[in-house]
Amino acid sequence: MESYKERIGRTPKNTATGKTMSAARWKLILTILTVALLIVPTGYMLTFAYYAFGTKSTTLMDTASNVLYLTEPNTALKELEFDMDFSLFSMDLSFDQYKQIGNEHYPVRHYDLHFVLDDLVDKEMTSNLDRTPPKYPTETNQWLVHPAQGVPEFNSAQEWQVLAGLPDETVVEAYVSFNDLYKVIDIRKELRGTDVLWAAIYTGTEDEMLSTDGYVVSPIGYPVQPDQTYWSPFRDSMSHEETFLQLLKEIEPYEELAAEVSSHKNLKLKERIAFIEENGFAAYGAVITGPKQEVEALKDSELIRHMKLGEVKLWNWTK
Amino acid sequence: MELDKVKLKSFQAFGWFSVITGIVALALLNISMLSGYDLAIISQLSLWISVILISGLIALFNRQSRSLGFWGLGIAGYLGFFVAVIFILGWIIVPFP
Repeated sequence: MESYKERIGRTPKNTATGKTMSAARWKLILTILTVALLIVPTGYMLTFAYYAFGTKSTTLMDTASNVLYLTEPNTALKELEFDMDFSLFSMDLSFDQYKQIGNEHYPVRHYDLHFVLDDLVDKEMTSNLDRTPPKYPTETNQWLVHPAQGVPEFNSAQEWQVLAGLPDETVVEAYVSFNDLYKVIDIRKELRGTDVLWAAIYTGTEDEMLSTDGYVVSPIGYPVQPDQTYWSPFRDSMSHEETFLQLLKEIEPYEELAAEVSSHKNLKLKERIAFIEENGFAAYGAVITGPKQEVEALKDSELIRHMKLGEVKLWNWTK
Repeated sequence: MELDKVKLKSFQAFGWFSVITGIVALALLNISMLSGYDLAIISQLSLWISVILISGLIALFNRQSRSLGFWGLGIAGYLGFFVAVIFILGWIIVPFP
Protein backbone atom coordinates (compact mmCIF):
# COMPACT_ATOMS: atom_id res chain seq x y z
CA MET A 1 0.00 0.00 0.00
CA GLU A 2 2.80 2.30 0.93
CA SER A 3 4.67 1.58 -2.29
CA TYR A 4 1.49 2.28 -4.34
CA LYS A 5 1.06 5.71 -2.69
CA GLU A 6 4.66 6.43 -3.33
CA ARG A 7 4.26 5.41 -6.92
CA ILE A 8 1.23 7.57 -7.68
CA GLY A 9 2.70 10.63 -6.09
CA ARG A 10 6.17 9.86 -7.31
CA THR A 11 7.10 12.87 -9.39
CA PRO A 12 5.51 16.26 -10.17
CA LYS A 13 6.30 15.55 -13.83
CA ASN A 14 3.59 12.83 -13.90
CA THR A 15 0.93 15.23 -12.58
CA ALA A 16 1.69 17.68 -15.36
CA THR A 17 1.47 14.90 -17.94
CA GLY A 18 -1.87 13.89 -16.43
CA LYS A 19 -3.21 17.44 -16.76
CA THR A 20 -2.00 17.67 -20.35
CA MET A 21 -3.65 14.34 -21.08
CA SER A 22 -6.88 15.53 -19.53
CA ALA A 23 -6.83 18.80 -21.54
CA ALA A 24 -6.04 16.88 -24.74
CA ARG A 25 -8.87 14.47 -24.05
CA TRP A 26 -11.30 17.37 -23.50
CA LYS A 27 -10.12 19.02 -26.70
CA LEU A 28 -10.70 15.78 -28.59
CA ILE A 29 -14.18 15.35 -27.11
CA LEU A 30 -15.14 18.96 -27.88
CA THR A 31 -13.71 18.68 -31.40
CA ILE A 32 -15.85 15.62 -32.06
CA LEU A 33 -18.85 17.41 -30.53
CA THR A 34 -18.26 20.49 -32.70
CA VAL A 35 -18.04 18.42 -35.87
CA ALA A 36 -21.14 16.44 -34.91
CA LEU A 37 -23.07 19.65 -34.25
CA LEU A 38 -22.17 21.00 -37.69
CA ILE A 39 -23.94 18.12 -39.47
CA VAL A 40 -27.56 19.29 -39.04
CA PRO A 41 -27.02 22.99 -39.90
CA THR A 42 -24.95 21.96 -42.93
CA GLY A 43 -27.76 19.60 -43.94
CA TYR A 44 -30.17 22.52 -43.64
CA MET A 45 -28.05 24.70 -45.87
CA LEU A 46 -27.85 21.90 -48.44
CA THR A 47 -31.64 21.48 -48.23
CA PHE A 48 -32.19 25.19 -48.85
CA ALA A 49 -29.65 25.12 -51.70
CA TYR A 50 -31.48 22.13 -53.26
CA TYR A 51 -34.87 23.89 -53.15
CA ALA A 52 -33.32 27.11 -54.47
CA PHE A 53 -31.17 25.76 -57.32
CA GLY A 54 -32.14 22.07 -57.79
CA THR A 55 -35.82 21.25 -58.00
CA LYS A 56 -37.21 24.60 -56.94
CA SER A 57 -39.71 24.74 -54.11
CA THR A 58 -41.76 27.17 -56.18
CA THR A 59 -41.88 24.68 -59.08
CA LEU A 60 -43.22 21.96 -56.77
CA MET A 61 -45.74 24.36 -55.32
CA ASP A 62 -46.85 25.67 -58.72
CA THR A 63 -47.22 22.15 -60.10
CA ALA A 64 -49.25 21.06 -57.06
CA SER A 65 -51.53 24.10 -57.17
CA ASN A 66 -51.89 24.44 -60.95
CA VAL A 67 -52.85 20.82 -61.46
CA LEU A 68 -55.79 21.31 -59.11
CA TYR A 69 -57.11 24.18 -61.23
CA LEU A 70 -57.05 21.91 -64.27
CA THR A 71 -58.19 18.59 -62.82
CA GLU A 72 -60.51 19.46 -59.94
CA PRO A 73 -63.57 21.22 -61.33
CA ASN A 74 -64.45 24.51 -59.67
CA THR A 75 -61.23 25.00 -57.68
CA ALA A 76 -59.67 28.14 -56.26
CA LEU A 77 -56.62 28.48 -54.01
CA LYS A 78 -55.67 31.46 -51.91
CA GLU A 79 -52.10 32.62 -51.48
CA LEU A 80 -52.29 33.44 -47.80
CA GLU A 81 -53.61 29.98 -47.06
CA PHE A 82 -50.36 28.39 -48.28
CA ASP A 83 -48.00 27.15 -45.62
CA MET A 84 -44.49 26.06 -46.52
CA ASP A 85 -42.12 24.45 -44.01
CA PHE A 86 -38.66 23.07 -44.52
CA SER A 87 -36.90 20.40 -42.49
CA LEU A 88 -33.85 18.28 -43.24
CA PHE A 89 -33.98 17.34 -46.94
CA SER A 90 -37.74 17.71 -46.95
CA MET A 91 -40.50 20.24 -47.46
CA ASP A 92 -44.08 20.39 -46.19
CA LEU A 93 -46.71 22.19 -48.17
CA SER A 94 -50.24 22.72 -46.91
CA PHE A 95 -53.08 24.72 -48.36
CA ASP A 96 -56.85 24.95 -48.63
CA GLN A 97 -58.93 24.40 -51.73
CA TYR A 98 -62.06 26.49 -52.24
CA LYS A 99 -65.18 26.07 -54.32
CA GLN A 100 -67.52 28.75 -55.52
CA ILE A 101 -71.09 27.85 -54.67
CA GLY A 102 -73.52 30.59 -55.54
CA ASN A 103 -71.66 33.84 -55.07
CA GLU A 104 -69.34 32.79 -52.27
CA HIS A 105 -66.22 30.69 -51.96
CA TYR A 106 -66.21 27.90 -49.39
CA PRO A 107 -63.20 25.90 -48.16
CA VAL A 108 -63.78 22.33 -49.27
CA ARG A 109 -60.50 20.51 -48.87
CA HIS A 110 -57.27 20.82 -46.96
CA TYR A 111 -54.09 19.37 -48.46
CA ASP A 112 -50.93 18.39 -46.56
CA LEU A 113 -48.11 17.38 -48.88
CA HIS A 114 -44.78 16.08 -47.63
CA PHE A 115 -41.87 16.07 -50.05
CA VAL A 116 -38.49 14.42 -49.47
CA LEU A 117 -36.36 16.41 -51.92
CA ASP A 118 -38.63 16.38 -55.03
CA ASP A 119 -40.42 13.15 -54.18
CA LEU A 120 -43.97 13.41 -52.84
CA VAL A 121 -43.89 10.79 -50.08
CA ASP A 122 -47.07 11.62 -48.21
CA LYS A 123 -50.35 13.27 -49.16
CA GLU A 124 -53.12 13.88 -46.67
CA MET A 125 -56.38 15.38 -47.78
CA THR A 126 -59.29 16.25 -45.54
CA SER A 127 -62.56 17.05 -47.24
CA ASN A 128 -65.61 19.05 -46.13
CA LEU A 129 -67.54 18.12 -49.27
CA ASP A 130 -71.05 16.79 -48.83
CA ARG A 131 -70.89 15.06 -52.19
CA THR A 132 -67.50 13.60 -52.93
CA PRO A 133 -66.52 12.55 -56.45
CA PRO A 134 -65.53 8.88 -56.89
CA LYS A 135 -62.21 8.12 -55.19
CA TYR A 136 -61.30 5.56 -57.83
CA PRO A 137 -62.40 6.92 -61.22
CA THR A 138 -63.51 4.36 -63.80
CA GLU A 139 -64.77 4.74 -67.38
CA THR A 140 -68.39 5.06 -66.20
CA ASN A 141 -68.47 6.56 -62.71
CA GLN A 142 -67.32 10.10 -63.48
CA TRP A 143 -69.56 13.14 -63.11
CA LEU A 144 -68.86 14.75 -66.48
CA VAL A 145 -69.76 12.58 -69.43
CA HIS A 146 -68.73 12.90 -73.07
CA PRO A 147 -71.65 12.74 -75.59
CA ALA A 148 -70.20 9.58 -77.14
CA GLN A 149 -70.31 7.77 -73.83
CA GLY A 150 -73.17 5.53 -72.79
CA VAL A 151 -75.24 5.88 -69.63
CA PRO A 152 -73.20 6.97 -66.61
CA GLU A 153 -73.41 5.31 -63.21
CA PHE A 154 -75.29 8.22 -61.66
CA ASN A 155 -78.96 8.59 -62.44
CA SER A 156 -79.50 11.98 -64.08
CA ALA A 157 -83.30 11.87 -63.66
CA GLN A 158 -82.86 11.24 -59.96
CA GLU A 159 -80.46 14.20 -59.70
CA TRP A 160 -83.03 16.52 -61.34
CA GLN A 161 -85.59 15.17 -58.89
CA VAL A 162 -83.33 15.93 -55.91
CA LEU A 163 -82.71 19.42 -57.30
CA ALA A 164 -86.44 20.03 -57.65
CA GLY A 165 -86.96 19.04 -54.01
CA LEU A 166 -84.49 21.58 -52.68
CA PRO A 167 -85.80 24.77 -51.06
CA ASP A 168 -85.97 27.79 -53.33
CA GLU A 169 -83.64 29.70 -51.00
CA THR A 170 -80.63 27.61 -51.94
CA VAL A 171 -77.78 27.92 -54.41
CA VAL A 172 -76.30 24.84 -56.01
CA GLU A 173 -73.28 23.59 -57.90
CA ALA A 174 -74.10 21.30 -60.81
CA TYR A 175 -72.01 19.15 -63.16
CA VAL A 176 -73.68 19.33 -66.56
CA SER A 177 -72.73 17.13 -69.50
CA PHE A 178 -73.67 18.24 -72.99
CA ASN A 179 -75.13 16.34 -75.93
CA ASP A 180 -72.42 17.62 -78.23
CA LEU A 181 -69.14 19.52 -78.19
CA TYR A 182 -69.49 23.27 -77.81
CA LYS A 183 -67.38 26.37 -77.58
CA VAL A 184 -67.25 27.85 -74.08
CA ILE A 185 -68.57 31.19 -75.30
CA ASP A 186 -71.70 29.47 -76.63
CA ILE A 187 -72.17 27.58 -73.38
CA ARG A 188 -72.06 30.81 -71.40
CA LYS A 189 -74.67 32.33 -73.69
CA GLU A 190 -76.92 29.30 -73.41
CA LEU A 191 -76.67 28.83 -69.65
CA ARG A 192 -77.80 32.34 -68.70
CA GLY A 193 -78.87 32.90 -65.12
CA THR A 194 -76.03 30.76 -63.83
CA ASP A 195 -72.26 31.16 -63.58
CA VAL A 196 -70.32 28.74 -65.76
CA LEU A 197 -67.35 28.02 -63.50
CA TRP A 198 -65.31 25.32 -65.17
CA ALA A 199 -65.34 23.78 -68.64
CA ALA A 200 -64.31 20.18 -69.31
CA ILE A 201 -62.32 20.14 -72.54
CA TYR A 202 -62.34 17.27 -75.02
CA THR A 203 -58.82 15.91 -75.36
CA GLY A 204 -59.46 12.88 -77.55
CA THR A 205 -59.67 10.46 -74.63
CA GLU A 206 -63.07 11.24 -73.12
CA ASP A 207 -65.18 9.17 -75.56
CA GLU A 208 -64.30 6.13 -73.50
CA MET A 209 -62.38 7.81 -70.69
CA LEU A 210 -59.38 5.75 -71.74
CA SER A 211 -56.00 6.88 -73.01
CA THR A 212 -54.54 5.28 -76.14
CA ASP A 213 -52.60 2.83 -73.97
CA GLY A 214 -55.75 1.87 -72.08
CA TYR A 215 -55.44 3.82 -68.82
CA VAL A 216 -58.53 5.39 -67.25
CA VAL A 217 -58.37 9.19 -67.48
CA SER A 218 -60.51 11.88 -65.85
CA PRO A 219 -61.82 15.21 -67.15
CA ILE A 220 -59.44 18.11 -67.46
CA GLY A 221 -60.45 21.67 -68.13
CA TYR A 222 -60.14 25.24 -66.99
CA PRO A 223 -61.95 27.87 -64.92
CA VAL A 224 -64.16 30.06 -67.08
CA GLN A 225 -64.86 33.04 -64.84
CA PRO A 226 -62.29 35.86 -64.64
CA ASP A 227 -60.11 35.25 -61.60
CA GLN A 228 -58.32 38.21 -59.99
CA THR A 229 -56.96 36.18 -57.07
CA TYR A 230 -53.26 36.96 -56.83
CA TRP A 231 -52.42 33.28 -56.65
CA SER A 232 -54.46 32.16 -59.63
CA PRO A 233 -52.55 31.16 -62.79
CA PHE A 234 -55.52 32.61 -64.70
CA ARG A 235 -55.10 36.07 -63.19
CA ASP A 236 -54.90 38.72 -65.91
CA SER A 237 -55.20 35.96 -68.52
CA MET A 238 -56.41 37.32 -71.85
CA SER A 239 -57.43 33.85 -73.00
CA HIS A 240 -58.17 31.15 -70.44
CA GLU A 241 -57.92 28.58 -73.23
CA GLU A 242 -54.34 29.55 -74.04
CA THR A 243 -53.40 29.72 -70.36
CA PHE A 244 -54.92 26.26 -69.92
CA LEU A 245 -52.77 24.85 -72.71
CA GLN A 246 -49.69 26.62 -71.42
CA LEU A 247 -50.25 25.24 -67.91
CA LEU A 248 -50.65 21.72 -69.27
CA LYS A 249 -47.26 22.10 -70.96
CA GLU A 250 -45.70 23.45 -67.78
CA ILE A 251 -47.04 20.55 -65.74
CA GLU A 252 -46.05 17.87 -68.26
CA PRO A 253 -42.42 17.46 -67.04
CA TYR A 254 -43.78 16.87 -63.54
CA GLU A 255 -46.71 14.70 -64.61
CA GLU A 256 -46.03 11.99 -62.03
CA LEU A 257 -46.11 14.51 -59.18
CA ALA A 258 -49.17 16.24 -60.65
CA ALA A 259 -51.06 12.92 -60.85
CA GLU A 260 -50.18 12.15 -57.23
CA VAL A 261 -51.47 15.51 -56.01
CA SER A 262 -54.64 15.36 -58.08
CA SER A 263 -57.41 12.84 -57.51
CA HIS A 264 -56.86 11.71 -61.11
CA LYS A 265 -54.98 8.48 -61.45
CA ASN A 266 -53.58 9.23 -64.90
CA LEU A 267 -53.12 12.49 -66.72
CA LYS A 268 -51.58 11.33 -70.02
CA LEU A 269 -50.72 14.91 -70.84
CA LYS A 270 -48.56 14.32 -73.90
CA GLU A 271 -51.30 12.85 -76.06
CA ARG A 272 -53.94 15.24 -74.68
CA ILE A 273 -51.80 18.33 -75.35
CA ALA A 274 -51.13 17.09 -78.89
CA PHE A 275 -54.86 16.57 -79.45
CA ILE A 276 -55.79 20.05 -78.22
CA GLU A 277 -53.08 21.66 -80.34
CA GLU A 278 -54.43 19.89 -83.39
CA ASN A 279 -58.17 20.16 -82.76
CA GLY A 280 -58.65 23.23 -80.60
CA PHE A 281 -60.81 23.70 -77.55
CA ALA A 282 -64.26 22.15 -77.36
CA ALA A 283 -66.17 21.51 -74.16
CA TYR A 284 -68.33 18.45 -73.49
CA GLY A 285 -69.31 19.40 -69.95
CA ALA A 286 -69.16 22.19 -67.42
CA VAL A 287 -69.58 22.96 -63.78
CA ILE A 288 -72.11 25.68 -63.12
CA THR A 289 -73.50 27.42 -60.06
CA GLY A 290 -76.54 29.52 -59.43
CA PRO A 291 -79.88 29.72 -57.66
CA LYS A 292 -81.70 26.42 -57.51
CA GLN A 293 -84.55 27.64 -59.76
CA GLU A 294 -82.16 28.89 -62.45
CA VAL A 295 -80.34 25.57 -62.58
CA GLU A 296 -83.62 23.67 -62.50
CA ALA A 297 -84.81 25.74 -65.47
CA LEU A 298 -81.98 24.21 -67.52
CA LYS A 299 -83.63 20.79 -67.38
CA ASP A 300 -85.28 21.43 -70.71
CA SER A 301 -82.19 22.91 -72.33
CA GLU A 302 -81.28 21.15 -75.56
CA LEU A 303 -77.65 21.46 -74.62
CA ILE A 304 -77.73 19.33 -71.52
CA ARG A 305 -77.73 15.54 -71.58
CA HIS A 306 -76.86 14.68 -67.97
CA MET A 307 -76.74 16.58 -64.70
CA LYS A 308 -75.04 15.60 -61.46
CA LEU A 309 -75.79 17.74 -58.43
CA GLY A 310 -72.77 19.00 -56.49
CA GLU A 311 -72.72 21.11 -53.34
CA VAL A 312 -75.76 22.95 -52.02
CA LYS A 313 -75.64 26.07 -49.83
CA LEU A 314 -78.12 28.52 -48.39
CA TRP A 315 -78.97 31.55 -50.53
CA ASN A 316 -76.04 33.92 -51.17
CA TRP A 317 -76.86 34.99 -54.74
CA THR A 318 -76.57 38.73 -55.21
CA LYS A 319 -76.67 39.10 -58.99
CA MET B 1 5.95 35.30 -12.97
CA GLU B 2 2.61 35.12 -11.16
CA LEU B 3 1.24 37.89 -13.40
CA ASP B 4 2.25 35.93 -16.51
CA LYS B 5 0.42 32.92 -15.13
CA VAL B 6 -2.71 34.97 -14.49
CA LYS B 7 -2.47 36.46 -17.98
CA LEU B 8 -2.13 33.02 -19.55
CA LYS B 9 -5.01 31.66 -17.49
CA SER B 10 -7.19 34.64 -18.54
CA PHE B 11 -6.44 34.21 -22.23
CA GLN B 12 -7.13 30.49 -21.94
CA ALA B 13 -10.36 31.23 -20.10
CA PHE B 14 -11.45 33.51 -22.95
CA GLY B 15 -10.49 30.80 -25.43
CA TRP B 16 -12.44 28.09 -23.63
CA PHE B 17 -15.37 30.47 -23.11
CA SER B 18 -15.42 31.17 -26.85
CA VAL B 19 -15.34 27.48 -27.73
CA ILE B 20 -17.90 26.40 -25.13
CA THR B 21 -20.27 29.26 -26.04
CA GLY B 22 -19.89 28.31 -29.70
CA ILE B 23 -20.69 24.67 -28.97
CA VAL B 24 -23.70 25.65 -26.84
CA ALA B 25 -24.93 27.92 -29.67
CA LEU B 26 -24.53 25.08 -32.17
CA ALA B 27 -26.30 22.66 -29.83
CA LEU B 28 -29.26 25.06 -29.39
CA LEU B 29 -29.37 25.58 -33.15
CA ASN B 30 -29.51 21.79 -33.62
CA ILE B 31 -32.29 21.47 -31.04
CA SER B 32 -34.23 24.27 -32.72
CA MET B 33 -33.93 22.64 -36.14
CA LEU B 34 -34.62 19.09 -35.07
CA SER B 35 -37.60 20.04 -32.90
CA GLY B 36 -39.04 22.24 -35.65
CA TYR B 37 -39.68 25.11 -33.22
CA ASP B 38 -38.00 28.50 -33.31
CA LEU B 39 -36.08 28.84 -30.05
CA ALA B 40 -34.89 32.23 -28.78
CA ILE B 41 -31.41 31.45 -30.19
CA ILE B 42 -32.61 32.03 -33.74
CA SER B 43 -33.53 35.65 -33.06
CA GLN B 44 -30.47 36.23 -30.87
CA LEU B 45 -27.94 34.50 -33.09
CA SER B 46 -26.10 37.74 -33.89
CA LEU B 47 -25.56 38.34 -30.14
CA TRP B 48 -24.19 34.81 -29.70
CA ILE B 49 -21.91 35.26 -32.70
CA SER B 50 -20.60 38.57 -31.32
CA VAL B 51 -19.82 37.04 -27.92
CA ILE B 52 -18.03 34.06 -29.48
CA LEU B 53 -16.18 36.36 -31.88
CA ILE B 54 -14.98 38.82 -29.23
CA SER B 55 -13.81 36.16 -26.74
CA GLY B 56 -12.17 34.22 -29.59
CA LEU B 57 -10.33 37.34 -30.77
CA ILE B 58 -9.05 38.05 -27.25
CA ALA B 59 -7.79 34.46 -26.99
CA LEU B 60 -5.74 35.01 -30.17
CA PHE B 61 -3.40 37.42 -28.38
CA ASN B 62 -1.65 34.64 -26.48
CA ARG B 63 0.29 31.93 -28.26
CA GLN B 64 -0.88 29.22 -25.84
CA SER B 65 -4.59 30.06 -26.19
CA ARG B 66 -4.41 30.88 -29.91
CA SER B 67 -5.72 27.48 -31.05
CA LEU B 68 -8.78 27.90 -28.80
CA GLY B 69 -9.27 31.39 -30.25
CA PHE B 70 -9.18 30.07 -33.81
CA TRP B 71 -11.58 27.30 -32.84
CA GLY B 72 -14.08 29.84 -31.43
CA LEU B 73 -13.65 32.11 -34.44
CA GLY B 74 -14.25 29.12 -36.71
CA ILE B 75 -17.56 28.41 -35.00
CA ALA B 76 -18.55 32.10 -35.13
CA GLY B 77 -17.61 32.23 -38.83
CA TYR B 78 -19.67 29.11 -39.52
CA LEU B 79 -22.68 30.54 -37.68
CA GLY B 80 -22.36 33.80 -39.61
CA PHE B 81 -22.16 31.89 -42.90
CA PHE B 82 -25.17 29.80 -41.87
CA VAL B 83 -27.27 32.90 -41.11
CA ALA B 84 -26.32 34.50 -44.44
CA VAL B 85 -27.06 31.34 -46.47
CA ILE B 86 -30.39 30.66 -44.75
CA PHE B 87 -31.45 34.30 -45.14
CA ILE B 88 -30.57 34.56 -48.83
CA LEU B 89 -31.75 31.10 -49.88
CA GLY B 90 -34.83 31.39 -47.65
CA TRP B 91 -35.75 34.52 -49.57
CA ILE B 92 -35.40 32.58 -52.85
CA ILE B 93 -37.32 29.44 -51.88
CA VAL B 94 -40.26 30.95 -50.00
CA PRO B 95 -42.31 32.97 -52.47
CA PHE B 96 -44.50 34.66 -49.85
CA PRO B 97 -43.70 38.02 -48.26
